Amino acid sequence: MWTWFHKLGSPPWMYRISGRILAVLLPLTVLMLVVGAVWGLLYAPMDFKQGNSFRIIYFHVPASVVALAGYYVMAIAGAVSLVWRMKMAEVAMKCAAPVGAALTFLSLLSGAIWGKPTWGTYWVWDARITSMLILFFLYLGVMALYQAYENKEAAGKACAVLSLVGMVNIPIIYKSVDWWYSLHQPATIKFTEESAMHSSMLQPLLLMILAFYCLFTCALLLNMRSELLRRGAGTGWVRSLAGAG
Amino acid sequence: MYFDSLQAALAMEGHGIYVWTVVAVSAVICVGLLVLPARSARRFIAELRVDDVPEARAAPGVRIEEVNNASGS
Amino acid sequence: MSAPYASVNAFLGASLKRQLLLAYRRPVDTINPLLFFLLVVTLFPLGIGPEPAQLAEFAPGILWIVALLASLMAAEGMFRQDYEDGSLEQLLLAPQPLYLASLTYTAAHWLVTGLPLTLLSPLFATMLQLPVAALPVLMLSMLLGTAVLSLVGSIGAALTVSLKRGGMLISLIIVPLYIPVLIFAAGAVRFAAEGFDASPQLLLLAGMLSLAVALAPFAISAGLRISVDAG
Repeated sequence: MWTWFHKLGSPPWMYRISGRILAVLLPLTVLMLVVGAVWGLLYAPMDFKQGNSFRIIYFHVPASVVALAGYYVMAIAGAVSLVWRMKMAEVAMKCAAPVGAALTFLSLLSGAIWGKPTWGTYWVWDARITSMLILFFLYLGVMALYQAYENKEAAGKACAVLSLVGMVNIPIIYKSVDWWYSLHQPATIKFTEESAMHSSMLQPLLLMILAFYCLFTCALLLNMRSELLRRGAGTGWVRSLAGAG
Repeated sequence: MYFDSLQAALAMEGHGIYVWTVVAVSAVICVGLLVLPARSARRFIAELRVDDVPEARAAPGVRIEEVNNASGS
Repeated sequence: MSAPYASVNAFLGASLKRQLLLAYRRPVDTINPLLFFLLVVTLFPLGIGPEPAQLAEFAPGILWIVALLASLMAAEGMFRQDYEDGSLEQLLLAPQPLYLASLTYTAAHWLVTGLPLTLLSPLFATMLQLPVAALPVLMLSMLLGTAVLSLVGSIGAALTVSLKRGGMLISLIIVPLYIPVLIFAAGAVRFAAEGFDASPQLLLLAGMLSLAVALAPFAISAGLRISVDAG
């Protein structure tokens, strides 16, 4: 157990093992994304209430789910880096932020585009969309704080603290936005309550969610590899990598 | 397949423009998430190979990081 | 009372007194947020029209958004002077727990921004035609809410104090965390103005305050340590 923990902290080991993981996971992710997208877009039946625009769900929901999970990944990595002073966790935290922010952006954009045929307007202050917007700000805050510090060691610690504070706040923010929305919900715009989805619609959705989780993992690992190279510039293993490769 | 023809799949009874826009944006973001970090790592290794002088090594590295961060945020 | 408690109390008292004395010597820092509040409250009727009914409808939201911005503005400079003259570094080396020291900073910040805002809020509310019946709830929500804002704002201030240009950054990292306070506090005032019972929202605010008092000092002290180490 402890040797494994020590290995996890070693950049060359991580670089090597992440390369091996990616060799398998990356093609698998692309395959799942393509299969899930084709299945959802062309083969799944249409939702009779929303028509074909409901197919946006196969991108919107996975992006939202993984964007939120990504914040927890970032915050937990931050906690590990603070408690055990583990550099690798700090690298993971720093690299998770832009990936999560990109997925949050995708969730917001697809939600807005979905809103046009469903609600007749691009932007609705719906509870979930508003919460995603706040999540986007939380991600941007962490990224901006990291950029602002010249001293990158301090930047990592400051971002870890901030992402932990954010993690404590996320449930509170979500609950409060929910309450706020139920209070203000305009009578004309009713969010169609998702009835129990038929399994022929649910299966591609589950596949897409899994695919987005894998996408997040791949993007995180790729970002970490790039960051590890930069941090290791001048050390033996990076030099030998440059010489050999 | 749910749709009768390719035309029907593209049109999606009037909702095609929304659905396919989301598909396009998703594709761009997914590909970007995977390609950008991979390319920046590859470029970094290439730079290391070019200037093998130890003093020169730190400077280009910093420069790339800035460019990378600017595009990433 | 046993000796350790007495010494902690003395430390808390001395630390708080020092903060308040510093604030007293720089009255501008205390008055500016209040003036800012007054200015922005003046802007709203000019921007959205003077009809009393319309103003009364927007008043809870306006008052709380402005209170939030005023608190944010004051939070930015909270640790600045002590960071620059080195007293913060002294504080980190002191044997007393930083947890308590962070609390005194926050308490002092609240006493010179949150409390005056609370006391003056009926005046601003009257200018915005908020029904008189809602004033007690407004003051109570200000009392609880601004304390949460001070605690959360201190986290942002602690994390950004060593940065040259922390001003915009602190807004970006803190405003999302202010949102629950805004929602429940403005909701409480709106409920009261419409004649409903606002106690659930006030209780939730009190709950947030308890949580923030317990947890925020950890984040503030961690932030102060990071900032002093970085500088």
